[in-house]
Formats: sequence, structure tokens, C-alpha cells
Amino acid sequence: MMHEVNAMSDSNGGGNKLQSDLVAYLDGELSDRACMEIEQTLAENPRIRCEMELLERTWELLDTLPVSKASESFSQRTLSVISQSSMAAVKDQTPAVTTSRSWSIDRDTWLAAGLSMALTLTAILCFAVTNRWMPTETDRLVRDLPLLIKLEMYEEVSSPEYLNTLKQSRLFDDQSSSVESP
Amino acid sequence: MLRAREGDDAAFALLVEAYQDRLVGILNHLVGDREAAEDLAQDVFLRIHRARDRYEPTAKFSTWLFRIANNLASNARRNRGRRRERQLPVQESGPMGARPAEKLLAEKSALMPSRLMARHEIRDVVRAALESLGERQQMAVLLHKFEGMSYADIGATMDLSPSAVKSLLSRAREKLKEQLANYVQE
Repeated sequence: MMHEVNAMSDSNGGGNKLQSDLVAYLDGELSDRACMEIEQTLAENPRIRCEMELLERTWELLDTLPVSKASESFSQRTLSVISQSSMAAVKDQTPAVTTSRSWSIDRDTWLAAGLSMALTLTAILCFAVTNRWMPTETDRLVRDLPLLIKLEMYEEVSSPEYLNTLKQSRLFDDQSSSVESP
Repeated sequence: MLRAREGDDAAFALLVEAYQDRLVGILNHLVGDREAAEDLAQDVFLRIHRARDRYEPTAKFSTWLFRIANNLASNARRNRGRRRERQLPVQESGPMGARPAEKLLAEKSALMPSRLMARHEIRDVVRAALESLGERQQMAVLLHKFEGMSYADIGATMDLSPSAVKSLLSRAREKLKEQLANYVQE
């Protein structure tokens, strides 16, 4: 009878599906609609019904297997192993943490040093630029030095137009050159 | 498990207590040796403890537990298989000849009436039939039979779709039915 079902399964393309649906039906894993279809097949076909019963009885035979349990000391031994393993892991991680921390300190130190250096360089650069391009009070004094030297004389004259007239007349060319270039 | 994840060792101890028998039971069926099963179970709990920070309550704890157990048992069986291949190159079953389970499987063709068999003999035959299944079939059968897992949970444990589990269990049960045909009372 079983062979007939197997032969049917082999010859019929849906045989494997029927077989797996039978098992799923026994396992309570079929949808309501599929259950109804299987139940209809079972009602109509005694061979399929027999096949299902064989599957069911075979499954029940597995109940004869002994159910072994963990030994009484199992949990204690397991927790002890886990505890030792945790301690070993912490021990292993400690140097790594130190290294990581020291690396972190080093990194901060290097960052601070780099920042300081960058600030110093920027300050030097700014000083150089301003010193080169921005006029200072000393620069102005140096530039106005010829005027300052002759300031008293210019104040006595008090008229630039008169001085221009004198300059154009070239009356004091020799004296003025001796004054301007001592 | 959520309390254990936060570092509560007492909660983890409760987890070990709660799952140890189920885990050792399944592993014992898989590896066929209680001592080896306890060693594997210990390894499972150790790995869970190490990985507890990464536990996300998106799946059942038991699914996670048996997933690890499945992987470890699979590796253990593979290693044992390699050792056996190296140690026993001539006789498949070793120098002592066929193991009792193999003998029992051979005897199944002798059409011995089931009513005459002692209970422990039936048990040995069933165990041999279970051992004759493929590794994945065996795990699926054990999880379904002894853990009452749904196809979806078995799939999550074994990295399979529910339809693949359905197919796997169908083939497994068909094979068991063939192996145990002479011991099933009609």
C-alpha cells in the first residue's frame, strides 16, 4: 500500500507536494484552505489516509527516544567556566585599554602642540606682513626728516609762495644745495 | 536575557538553569554522547555570554540559542567525521566491526515483529533511524519534535525559509517512515 502511494508520488508531479502537505498538515502548518483540501483528499482516498497514519505513527516512535538532561553540576561548572573566561577577557583587555588611553593622551598632546605651532607661525607671519607693508610713526618721521630740519627756517619765511618765487629765481641755488646735502 | 545583557550575572545563571536540559537533550541526540553534548552546551552558553551585548530582542532567545547549538554541533560532527576518516581508513565502522546501531538498521530487513521487540530495542532502532538522516534533517526533526518549534522558528534557527523547512521535514519523515516501516504497527 505504501509502495502504491510512493509510486503515485513518483509518477505524479504533485506527489512531492502532496507528501509535504501531508506532513505540514500533521504539523499544523497548513493554511485553513490547504487543510480543507487535504481533508477532502483524505476522505476520498484511503491510500493517502493510510500514508498519513504511517507518518503519524512513525513520528510517535520518536517518543521512545530517551530524553537526557544536564548533569546536576552542569550549571555550576558552566557558570564557573564563564566567570573564568570573563576574568581572562578583562585581563586581556586591560593593556589594550591603557594603550588606547595613552594613545589618546598622546594624540591630544600632539594636537595642542600643533595648534600652538600654527598660532606662533601665524603671529610671525602677521608681524612680518604688517612690519613690511604698514607705515609706522618712525617711518613718517624719517620721511619728514628734511622738513623737520628746515622747519625753523620755513616758519620764519611763513609764505610758501615767496619761497617758490625765490626758488624760481635760482638766487640761492648754491646755498640751498649746501643745506640740502651737507 | 535583556537583564543578562545589562550585566546581570544572576539573570544569566537563571537562563542556564532554564535551558540546560533542553539544550543538552537536543545536543545529545545530535552527537550521541552525553559528555560531548554537555561540553558543547557549555560552549553554547559561553558564546552567548560573550555575545550578550549584541543580543537584540527581535528573535526568540531559544532561536538564537539553538542556532548557535546547531552551528557548534555541525562543526563538532564534521571534526569527528574527519578524525574517523583518518583513523579508520579500512573499515568504515572501525576495528570492532559494525556498531550496534548499524547492526540494528541491518536487522530491520529481517521483518522482526514489533510486538516481540523489547522497548529498549525499539529505542535503539529509532535512534539508528534518526542517525541515518542528514545533519540538517536531523536538526529539523529534533527541533520540531522535542522543542515544538514552528517551521518559521526552525527556519530562523537553521537559516532556511519556512518552505525549505517544510520540504526538509517532509523528506526526513518519509525517510524515517521507510527506515521504521517494520516497527510501525498497522
